This record gives sequence, C-alpha cells and structure tokens, in this order.
Amino acid sequence: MTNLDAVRLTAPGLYTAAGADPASLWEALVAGKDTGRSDELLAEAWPGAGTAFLVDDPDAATLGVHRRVLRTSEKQARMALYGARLALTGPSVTGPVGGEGWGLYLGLPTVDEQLLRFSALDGLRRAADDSPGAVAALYGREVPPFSGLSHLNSTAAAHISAVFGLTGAMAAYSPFSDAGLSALVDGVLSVAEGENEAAVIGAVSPKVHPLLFPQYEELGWTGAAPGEGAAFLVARRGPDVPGARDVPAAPDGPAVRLAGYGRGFGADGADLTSALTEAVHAALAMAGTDAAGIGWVLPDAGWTAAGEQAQRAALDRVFGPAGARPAVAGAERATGVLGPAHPLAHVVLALHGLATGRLLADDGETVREEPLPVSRVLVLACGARGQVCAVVLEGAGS
Amino acid sequence: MSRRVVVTGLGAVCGLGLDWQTVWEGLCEGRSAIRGWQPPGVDDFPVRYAAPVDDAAFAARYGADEDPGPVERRVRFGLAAAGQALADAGLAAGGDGAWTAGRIGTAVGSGVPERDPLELLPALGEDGQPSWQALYARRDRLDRASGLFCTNDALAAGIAARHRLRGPALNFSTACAGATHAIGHGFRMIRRGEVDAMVVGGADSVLNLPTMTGLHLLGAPSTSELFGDRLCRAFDRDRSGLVAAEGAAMLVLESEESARRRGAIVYAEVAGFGSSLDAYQVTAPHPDGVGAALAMRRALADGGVAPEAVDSVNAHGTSTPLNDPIETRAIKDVFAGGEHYRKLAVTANKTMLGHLIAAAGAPELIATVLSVRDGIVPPTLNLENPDPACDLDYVPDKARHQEVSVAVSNSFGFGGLNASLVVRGYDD
Amino acid sequence: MTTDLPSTNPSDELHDDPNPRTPHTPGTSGTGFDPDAIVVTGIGAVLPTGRGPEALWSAWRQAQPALSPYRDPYVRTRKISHFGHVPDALQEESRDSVPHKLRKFGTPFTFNAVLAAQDAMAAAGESWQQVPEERRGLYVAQDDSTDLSAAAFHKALDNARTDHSPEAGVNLTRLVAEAFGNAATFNPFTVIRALNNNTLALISIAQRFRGDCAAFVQDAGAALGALQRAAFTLREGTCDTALVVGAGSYNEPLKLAAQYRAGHLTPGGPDGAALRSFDAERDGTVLAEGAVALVLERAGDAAARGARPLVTFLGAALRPAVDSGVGPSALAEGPRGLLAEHGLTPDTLGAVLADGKGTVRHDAAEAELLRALLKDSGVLVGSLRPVTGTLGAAGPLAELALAPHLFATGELPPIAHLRTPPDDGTDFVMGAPRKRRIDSVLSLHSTFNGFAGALLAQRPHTD
Repeated sequence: MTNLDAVRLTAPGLYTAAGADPASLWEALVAGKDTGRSDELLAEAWPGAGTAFLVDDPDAATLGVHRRVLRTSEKQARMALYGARLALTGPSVTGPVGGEGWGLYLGLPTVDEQLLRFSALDGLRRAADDSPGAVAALYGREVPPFSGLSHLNSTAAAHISAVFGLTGAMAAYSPFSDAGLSALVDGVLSVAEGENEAAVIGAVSPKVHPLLFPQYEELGWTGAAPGEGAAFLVARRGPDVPGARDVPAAPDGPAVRLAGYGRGFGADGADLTSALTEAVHAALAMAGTDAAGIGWVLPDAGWTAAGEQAQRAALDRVFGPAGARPAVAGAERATGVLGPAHPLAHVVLALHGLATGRLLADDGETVREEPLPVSRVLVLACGARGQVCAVVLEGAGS
Repeated sequence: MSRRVVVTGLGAVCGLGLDWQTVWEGLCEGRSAIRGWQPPGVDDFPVRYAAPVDDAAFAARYGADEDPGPVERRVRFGLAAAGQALADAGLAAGGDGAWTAGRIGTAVGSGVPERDPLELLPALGEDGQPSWQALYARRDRLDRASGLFCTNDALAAGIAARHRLRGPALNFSTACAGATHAIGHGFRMIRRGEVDAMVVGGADSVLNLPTMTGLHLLGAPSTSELFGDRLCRAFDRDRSGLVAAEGAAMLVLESEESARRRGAIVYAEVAGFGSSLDAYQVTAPHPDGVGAALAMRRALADGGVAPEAVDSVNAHGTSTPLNDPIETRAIKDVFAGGEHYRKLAVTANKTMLGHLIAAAGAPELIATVLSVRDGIVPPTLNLENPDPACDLDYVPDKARHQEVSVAVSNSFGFGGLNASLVVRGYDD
Repeated sequence: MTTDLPSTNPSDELHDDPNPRTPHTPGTSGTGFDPDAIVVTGIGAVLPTGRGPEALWSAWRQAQPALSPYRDPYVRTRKISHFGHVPDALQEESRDSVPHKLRKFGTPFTFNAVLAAQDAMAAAGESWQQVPEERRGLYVAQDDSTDLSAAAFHKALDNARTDHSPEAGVNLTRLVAEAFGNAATFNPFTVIRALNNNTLALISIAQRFRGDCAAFVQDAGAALGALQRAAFTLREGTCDTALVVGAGSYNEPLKLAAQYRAGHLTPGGPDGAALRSFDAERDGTVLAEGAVALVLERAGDAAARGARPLVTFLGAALRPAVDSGVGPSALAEGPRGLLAEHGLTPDTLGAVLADGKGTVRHDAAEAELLRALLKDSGVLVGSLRPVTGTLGAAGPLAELALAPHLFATGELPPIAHLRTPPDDGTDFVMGAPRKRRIDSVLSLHSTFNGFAGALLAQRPHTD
C-alpha cells in the first residue's frame, strides 16, 4: 500500500514495571534489571503466580484530571490514560493536540474486577440461601454505583478522548495481544486514507488480579508472569510528504513507518502456525521485502503453549534455520506479559531501536545490545484464541 | 484498491424472531418484542420490562447445531446468527475447506463479560472466610460457562473456528456502537482488498441480574410502569430510559466481484462508514450532538454521498431523555442544506426490538438494508406526545412504503463513541 | 367573625358557557349522606387580601392582586420587587389576638396563625366549643421561616458595626461564643421562637388544644400532609374535630436572596401586573405570607351538632417530583390517581385550580402537566396565584377555603393578567369569570424543592 508511506509513527509513551519511558525499558532489559515483584497475595491466590510486574496506580494529579473523573474508572483505564499522557505530553509532540482530526485506536482487555468486595461474600451466601430476591436486594445495595461504566472497558476511550479533546475517527479492540496491533494497523490506515490527520494508538494490560487466572488456565497459560502497563504512540502524516499539513519534524530521530501488515486467524496447532506464517508473508510482501530484509524480530510474549509453539514454527518457516535468522527479543523479562499492550510495547521498543540503529538480542540467558543490521523490524501478535497479526516497521531511508 | 461492498447474507436471533425474515416482518408490522421481565426468581426488580429471546424456541430451533461447548448465552445467539447469515449468503466451505468467496474474516461487537458475584461463592472456605486459595482449590468444579472463564472474544473466535475462516477475527469494544464499528471496519477491509468477505455484526445479552443492576444504578433503563410494555418511547415527551434486550444479528459483506462471480443475491450496498468521539463526559453525550453529527458526516463523505440523497435515517433512538433530542439536533445539523431533514423518514427500531447494547447496530443495519431493498421504513412505536425538541418525521405507528435509495444507520455508545453507516440500493 | 355565604342550595345550572357540559351527576355529592365524609365547618384566614375568606374571594373574583412593593426594616434592595405582605393593620390585630404573656414566644407569622385559628373556631359555631380539649386534634403546617434569621443576629451585628477594634467584622466563631457567654447577643426566647413547630406550640397554648397533634414542614406539601393526617385521625376516631392550620412567611432575608439567585422572582411587571401566571410574558413569581386555618370534622358529627358543612375534603396526594427524565404523564399520575380514587375523571371534574407560580419554567411544566392530565375534557382551569402570590403552607388551605364560594356562585374567577395562555388545549379562564356548575375542585401545588401535590374537594351533602 503506497499510501502507508505517508504516515509516521512518533511520540512513544510507555508505562511498565521498568519505568515510564522506552529508554528505561531498553536499559532494564540490557542490564537484566529485576523489575518484578513477588506478590504474596497472588502467590497465595494462584500457586505458580508468585511474581508479577506491577505498576503504581496513577492518581488524579499524575493524570492531570479531577478526582471526580476517576470514579468511572478502574486501574486499567487509568494506566491507559497515563500511557496516552506520556505519549501526548512528551517531547515528540509539538503543536496542538486534539480536535476533529485526531482519532483514537485502542487495544483493551476486559475489566476483570470483582463486582462485590470479598467482605460481602458471606452476606451473599446467606442471601443466596434465602432467595434470588434477597440476592437482588444485596446487589442493589452493594454494587458500586458507577460500575456499569467503570467495568466497561471502552470507558478508557471516553476518558482519553475527553482529556485530550480527541474527536476524530476511532476504534477499540479487545481482549488479547492482537488487539494492540489491530489498533496500530487501523490507526495508521485512518491517517493513510485521510480519515484522520493524526491517530493516538495505544494498548493497555489488564490490572493483574486473581480473577484473571481461571481464564488464563483455561486458555492454556504457560504460567508466564503477568505484567501491568500501557504502550502508546501517535501516527501522523509525515512532513516530507507532499500534501501534508505543516507537521513539525519529530525530534526523536529518523521517521519510522508501518511498512506492511497481515492479520488472520488459526484456531489451533497447524492452523495457527499457517495463519501466522501467512500473516508474516503478507506483511513482508506489503512492505516490498522478504525475510532477508528484516533486521530484528519481536515475537509476542509466550503465553500459551500453543501460541509459543506456533510462533516458533512460523518463524522457522519464514526465516529458515535458526542460524540465519535475525535477532529476536521480547520485553517480558522486564515487564511481564502485558496482554494487548505487549506487541505495542514491542513496537515502542522497535521505534527506539530504529531511531538509534540498535537492537536487543535475547539468547535465552541474557540480553545483548547490538547494531541493527537493516532498518526493518517484524513484530508479531498471537492472540490467545487464534487471532494473529504481523507488522513490519521500517525506518526512513530503507 | 477500492472495491464496492455489498450485503449478501443476513442472520438474526432476538426477541422479535429467530431468523431475519421473522424479525423484518415483525418490524414492518409494528410488533414489539418488549414484555414484562424480571431476573429469574425475582419479582421486585425495579426494571420491569425487557425484550428477551424465547429460550425454549431458541433451543428447539438451534439446539441441534454443533455444540459450542461452555459459552455465554450471547455467544450462542451470535453463533446461530452467523450460521444463518452464511447459509443465507449461500457460502459454504468447499470439499477441501476452500471458500468460494475467497478470503473471509469476521468482526463483531461484544459487550461486558457476564460476571456474577455468585461465581465467587466457592471462594468461601471451610471457615466461612473468603480466600482466593479456596477458589483455586475448587476450580475444577466451577462452571466453565461462567464469567470466570469466558473471554469477550469468544464469539469472534468461535465464528472463525466453526466456519474455518482464515481472515482476521476482530472483536470490537465500543459499547453500544460495537456492532456498527465491526460492520464498518469489515466494510473497509473488503473495500481496500484485505479480505474478500466478512461476517460482521454483534451479539449481546445483559438480561442477567448483575449487569442489569449495574445499568439500573446508572439510571439508564426505564423503570416506568405507566405505559406497560409501551415504555420504549423514542422521541416522546414521556420517554424515561432504554429497554434492554438480548440477541444477535450478523451480515455477510462481500466484494461486489466476489458476489457477482458466484451469482450471490445482493440485498444492498454498504457505501460508507464514519466514526467519532464526543470528547465530552463519560456519563453523558455532548449536548450539541457534535460527535453524532461528525460520525454521520464522515460516513456520508466516506461513501461520496450527498446529504440530500439520503431518504431515511435509522436512528440510535434509545428513548433516553438525553439521546433523542441530541440525535435530532445532530440530524438537523447534518441535513441542514435545503432543510433536507424535513424530508427524512427517521425511525427508531429500538421501540420494537429494545436495545441490544453492544449488538444494537447489527439488527438495525439489517433493518436499514431491507428498508432499502423493499422500500419500507418500519415505524417508531409509542410516539404519542412528541417532545418539542424532537420535531422530525419519525414515521409514527405504522410502517411507510416509500422509496429508500440511500439510508443512514446510527449507533452511539456510552462515553461518546459514535458510528454511522450508509447503505445504498444496489442495481445489478 | 362569621363567614357569610350565599345559600348553598344547588342553583339552576348556569349556561353562560358556550360549551355546556353535562352536569356532574350524583355519585359523589348528592347520593346518600356519608357520616364519615370529612367536612370543613369553620374557616379563618389572615392573608395579603385581608382577614377572612370573604376578602380572599372578593379579591380573586375581581382579579385584584394583593401584592405590594416589598418593604422590610432590615432589607433594602430593589431586587425583591414585590411581596404579598399581610397588611400592617391586620398584623397588629394578629398580635393583639395573642395573649400578652405569650407574645415573646411568637413571631409575626405565628401570630397570624393564632388569629386565623381563632376565627376558624369562632366560625365553626358555639357548639364546637363543647368538644372537649383533649378530643381536638391540631395539625399545623409551618413554613421554613424560623426566627433565626438575619434579624436574630442584629444585636451582635450592631456591636460589630460600632466595634473599632482590629478584630472587628463579623467573626462567626466569636459570634457563637458570645451566644454561649452573653445572653444579650441573641433574643433570649430564640429557643422557642426558632422552633420549626413554634406555630403548633403557640396555638395549642393560646387556643387550648390538648388532643392529638402534629407539625409538618414545609410549604404546600406540609399543608397536604396536615390535611391527610387530620382526615385520618378523624376517621380513626382519635379526635372529634381537627384544626388544620397552614402558616408562614417567605419574608426571611437570606431565603429571599436565595430565591432571587435561583431566578424565581419577577423583577417587577409593568403597571402593577407583577405575577402573570401562565402568560407568555410571565417572568417570575412573587412570594407572600399568611395563615389559613380550617376546622374539620366528620360530617356525621357536624350534622349532630347542627353545624353547616362548607366543603367536603375528599383527599390529597403528594409525590416527589424528581426533575430529570420524568415526563408529564408520570407527574400527572398523582392527581389522576386521586381523582380515580374518588370516582372522578377530568370529564366529571368541576374546576381545576392550578398552582401557576408564574416563573417561565414552573408554568411551562405545569401547562404540560395540565395537558397530560386533562386532555380534551374541557374542564376550566383557574389560579389564585396572581392575587395572593406564592403562599407556602397556607396555599392549599386558602384554595380549600375558596371552594364553598365556587360551589355557591358557580363562577370560576379569571386568572388575573392572563392574555396569552401557553396552549389552546387547556381551557384557562381569562378576562371574565366563567359560569358553570361546580361540584368538585382539584387544586394543584408544586414546591420549589421537588414535591408535587393535589387536593380534591367536593360540594358537601346538604339536605
């Protein structure tokens, strides 16, 4: 798609256990910094879940909003709002933000929080023994009044758009890692096709909560440590493209663009591997390149056994034997698994690498920093139920 | 690449009927699916009306279908509707799984997971104290169809898996605009050549105690008992809130070439899609309807359609105090040229279907498509005392037979997430 | 003082009305005598229109507003343009009606209540005095205006004015400390004068009531509550007669300021037409003060002692009127239900007295309510409001006090100053009184703080 060339990816914002900017994450990975915390509560709740990569819940002052706004939010929406703030108030964004030309594309998990506190459970048991009417009465008293909004994941979009005055075209996807890359793809397309002048693109992890673990186990979770965080960036028309408005040149180095993408579905096993392989091939083809044209690969965090296997097999098919393949790395050592935000965090790392001409190579033991041989990065998403997405990011001048 | 996108299959399961033909007939006859309702076993829940799916009839009709395993209620509705739509489109996997239509994906709008606090009772230990360990210890005995295990993409993944679709399986979370977003994005993906066809729509069911309690605490559903089951009164002075419903609707969208190649019957063309954000408040829409107007304008521009060419608007029309006058205002803004808004036939399907929440846009788009095909605009029921701020032609009471060459369908989600679609008649 | 009414014998049907309606058929008044019906046998009134129900009727009949330019010793402002003051001379009479030693316990508006009570009891006839004190119920609806107003601070504020020390200025903490330490800071009888139920206390002492009693706050809703309670205890047999008194005054400076800020008050209409209920040119209400007292008893008891019933109180309805999201049909449910309870429909109703506050918003909402309630029934709608102003607790009782005149004369006075009514659907009486047989009256009230009520009265059975 030639018109993808017109769109630049800039203004990364990243909030993870490794810190509140991409450089902190990069350094943490290189340094092997221990950013996880062992969480007693989690370990007790769900054996094997002892470590988690948690972040502080941003407060009203940090978010730059009135306290009252937060009563219709849970931690997830607040992390997302913080990620957006990091991106939009960072040094890369010059000029006004917001208005009809600014859209919003989000990858969101569902909000997995308890509707009733644990302390109300005993009362609930008694009500349940009594009658459905007693249960209804208890819910009427105990369910938090704004939970209808705060437990609705799309409320994060409402919050972000209200704080930054974004009234452009939008979409929000959920609930797994592919959602973040779908947001990237459609956000970039909205700018490329002239629907938006700029698109705020972001994804957020779930708040790590014991309620997640039954789901995870059911889906074949490997036990990989979960993490909290948000990854955001902005797609806008590049300044060097004819017809673009006067967009100031991004101060964070050479322009990066989405060069190609592919998305598909494969229910399991061989289907999943083929779907991912096809998606990668589609992305490479769209980017006008092939496996040899990729300098760095950031696969999705291994989260289910099936997903891990499929990614390995797909990479084998695309790149051939291990020796010939580009360096591979992932953020999870320092961030945990971030759900929808994970591939987008990888995109943010890729932006950093493309800007500095470096990459991170994870050999299984340590993470080394090396020169980036080709200014093209492949980022993968392998959603827990079989949704797959691959994107090729390219530095300008390739 | 820019291809034309047409509708070749329909499927619907809701209170008004278990197939799209019955639903359309009901809409044209002005029948309502809204009736007295209470959560099971409760008789004093303040929300007293809803539009539920007839469980027994659904089981009788779709019970023999392939068992989807432990899934939420709405996923069952969605799978049934998707199957209906694909069959309606005459699309079936060839012997070796090759689809005659090419690369097909799916996109759906989905809602809030059904999380019931009762699911956590197993967390009460022997000592009567709640703990996650206790829940963990009992996890094998927990109901897999409960909110503890279900994820909100079960429908998207379920459709893709069941019908072996290899295109993307997208799950949209934009509240009440979810299905419209899904349909709009599916339309775009076909238009730009990423896929050849998409199964799009939505499914939702909020008719359970915890979700309805949450909605009731927000003041969204009407608790009126003044009008019996005629309490869904879009644009009426006595409207007092939405009436919740459940169900699913799906459409098959296809590139024109693919439809022609296989000789598919085309219902209508999807011409444009637009979306916007209100950027106002989480709890209320922008009072000037700015976001709603933007979504409609963008959809028209996307389709290269002039406002004066539009004959009908399928309104979001929720019967809430805020939405209806704001939507009216937005329509008047968009169609101000030559006061074209006076000529529009505006209809509120929710007065008959109820509000299917995340799925709402899907049956309404089906109604819009069929309006265009059949030249019938379904009525807005219960409009007996129009609000002075709502002064458009809402086709009160009885369906109207008129030519509808172009129609717009609106969906506006909580927090100001807006989406509009433009549908046009298709001539071979 | 007795109320001198024309004979209440049913007169010939008067058909000045171009659209004569079928006369209301027996089924309510006129069927058999119901000894448990609740009737009014004595009325007293101390209002801006003067003393007694006659003066009230006369002013209403002639569309003669009793509103005057606002004046108050403490409040100098043009922002309150008009008020419904009880005339000074009448205020003196009220004060005189209170035993000297009790005066320090009361305020001007409670004095009005005592005088109105006295007049009502006298009008009830001598045989009423035979009812033992402990069998007399007393139900008082008092407005919010207690004595702890700006006036209560006047000593302390005067001190502040003459105090040149660096700590001068009104320091609230210090003021309160003074109240604890220095009796002269406040009126020593504040503890009684400032009671919300001061009126109840004063009347019960001055007029010797020892039976069941209750005090209700505030506004029109309180009067409806007091009436309901009185009817209930009379039917229960807890008392043999009940005095219902509604009294108060909106003339409290800080409260007036709040009403002004809320945009409820007229800036002052041209040439004396201050309060223009339902008119297209209306621009606000005028607040007022006054007291109305009604003696109620069971019709059987009234007949037994030879008293003449003036009006039958059928019932009242009071509902919260939550602002947003409630349409006129919902608001009309209260009065509609009240009518239905007593076998009436808008078609068979004699007349409606609308609240007609006179603000743009209140009257628009009430016009919608009237359309929703009355639809095409053709019943006449009048309003007392432009004549008395917004009265508070005395309001509904004043309208009940006027019912006997409506029944006797078969005339519904016009709504003063009304030229352009809000819609054609409702038959607002304009210009001249309308003649029609009236056997029942529905009186509607709303308050500034979110209640909506209705009162239903009927021609009493007489032989």
